Amino acid sequence: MGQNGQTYHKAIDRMEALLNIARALSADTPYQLVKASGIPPSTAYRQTAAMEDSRMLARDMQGRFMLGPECLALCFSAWGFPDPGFIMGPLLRFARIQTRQTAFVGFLRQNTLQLGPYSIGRGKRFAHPAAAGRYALQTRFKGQTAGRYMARAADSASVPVLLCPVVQNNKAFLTLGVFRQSSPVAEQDKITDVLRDAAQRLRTSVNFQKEHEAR
Amino acid sequence: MGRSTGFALLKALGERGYVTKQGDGCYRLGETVRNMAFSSTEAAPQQVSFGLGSKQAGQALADMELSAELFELADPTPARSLGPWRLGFANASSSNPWRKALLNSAEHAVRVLDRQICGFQSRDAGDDPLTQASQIDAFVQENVDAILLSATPDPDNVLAGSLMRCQEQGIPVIAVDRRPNDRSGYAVFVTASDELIGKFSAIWLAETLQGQGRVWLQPGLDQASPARRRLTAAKMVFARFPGLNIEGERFSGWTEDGGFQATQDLMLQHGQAPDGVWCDSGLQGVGSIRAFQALSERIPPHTGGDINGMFRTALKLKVPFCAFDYPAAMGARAVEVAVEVLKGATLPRRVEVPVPAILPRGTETRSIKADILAEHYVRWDLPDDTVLSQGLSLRGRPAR
Repeated sequence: MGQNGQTYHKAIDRMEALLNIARALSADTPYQLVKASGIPPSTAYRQTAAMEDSRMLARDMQGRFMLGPECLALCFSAWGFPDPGFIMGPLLRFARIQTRQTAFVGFLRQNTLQLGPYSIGRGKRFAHPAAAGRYALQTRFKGQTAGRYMARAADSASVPVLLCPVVQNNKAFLTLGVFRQSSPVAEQDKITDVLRDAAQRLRTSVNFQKEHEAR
Repeated sequence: MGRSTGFALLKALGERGYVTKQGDGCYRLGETVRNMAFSSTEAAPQQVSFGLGSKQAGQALADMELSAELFELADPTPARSLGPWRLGFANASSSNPWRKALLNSAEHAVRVLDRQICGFQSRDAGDDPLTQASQIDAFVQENVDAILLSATPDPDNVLAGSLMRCQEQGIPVIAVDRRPNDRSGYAVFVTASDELIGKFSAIWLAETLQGQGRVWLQPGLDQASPARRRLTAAKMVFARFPGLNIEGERFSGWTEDGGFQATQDLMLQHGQAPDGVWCDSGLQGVGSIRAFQALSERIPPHTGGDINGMFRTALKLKVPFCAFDYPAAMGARAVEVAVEVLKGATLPRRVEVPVPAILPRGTETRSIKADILAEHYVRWDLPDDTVLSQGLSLRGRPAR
């Protein structure tokens, strides 16, 4: 073992490098992933294979590396929520298509919103989340079925968000939300309805999952 | 893991915020893990300019139906040994490029998951339910661990007995693309939304035509339920546009020749080219475009993707089109789902594979935006009958 656990820190650095590239969906092939990670190739290929095998990394239909289901499950578990698993992808896509906005799952503790998985809106009216995915709500979260808030990240201006609580535990709220770009008044109610519907479905599936785990 | 290694690893993980120590000597997942899920679930959109119909307010709402099965959990199946497992694939047929691509995709996933899958055998039923029933029985006798099933059309419910035997033996059945009539005959259904394909392609065409004009409909195969579902969904959208006149409708059999013939017949009947042609797939769409070309007519906007030939032809001739490819990559997803089921994981009854919107530059409408640009999606180096939606199996092994 290296001095002061350097070997382990190095291994963690490598894992983080690979996860960060996968998080940005910026590698289409193992070669691109390995090259972008800066890790010696043979180590990187071996580590990529191991992480795919343990489902920390996965690939989408075009072959891009993305975070794997195990990674997402770990995160939900760290927040104390059951993992919505396969349902999250279709739900985020549904919310994104129906609202034409960037849709996300967020974890809200006090007034800090930490974004989880998200699906970026299409066309011109969409917002990229801030770099760390962490926002401070400028007004207190009231926990109502759907509420509009202004959220500010450390590195960007305030953005309007619409948030729907899904479930709550003693640590945080699990929420479903969209970044709201300017949209015609007629569409605003529709966006709220869509989000409420999606949150209701996510709630149902999270509760199912909770019951299943309890059994 | 040795004690000293374990403690050193735990210490390093703690220093990086992956775990935090509790007062009682226990550890729990830390802040770094809580922030780990911040990631895009789909590729970021390509910045494309608004094109046809962008000024049209558009009356069609992109109402996407979510199947209730997406939120219904499959009955938990007890894990079947530790693996590796043997899978059988009862395939309805491999009679067209899409079906061959589905098989390629499944075989690719088997190669990727070779540590978990030690055997994979596929049997082609030639669209005959009796043959498929006997093939399923053979898989049961060979005691495979799970069966992937793309069901043949089965009006007499011939498959029910075989599927019952699977249940009795505790062999999970994963339906892919086409499910059996009896919902209790399978554990999970891996598919894509036909309603979405029909509805969104119709919205694109209606918005492209700014809600006015004459439209021809060319659905796929008359008896096939996906073709019916897409057609019904498309008609519901067209009905919202009173200025659109559905002038003709011809089933095309999902073949290039069928599309060519359907367009020729409709031209004979109506005497002039329409303003738009709705096809539920490029399998016939490419035939329709070639028919207009053969008749030296102006080629109207078309819908339908799926095969490389449609993309190559439409881009070369600068025909406005949109494609919602029915993903052959669902073959790979079905293999992954089978492995999950065998591990004893909880899964929804229905697993949907995403259907991307593929449009050429400048053809986005108010409601329909490109997930992928057709110019980036097309493969000029591959033959016309290549199915592009088969995902990773396309690399190095075209579906031929």
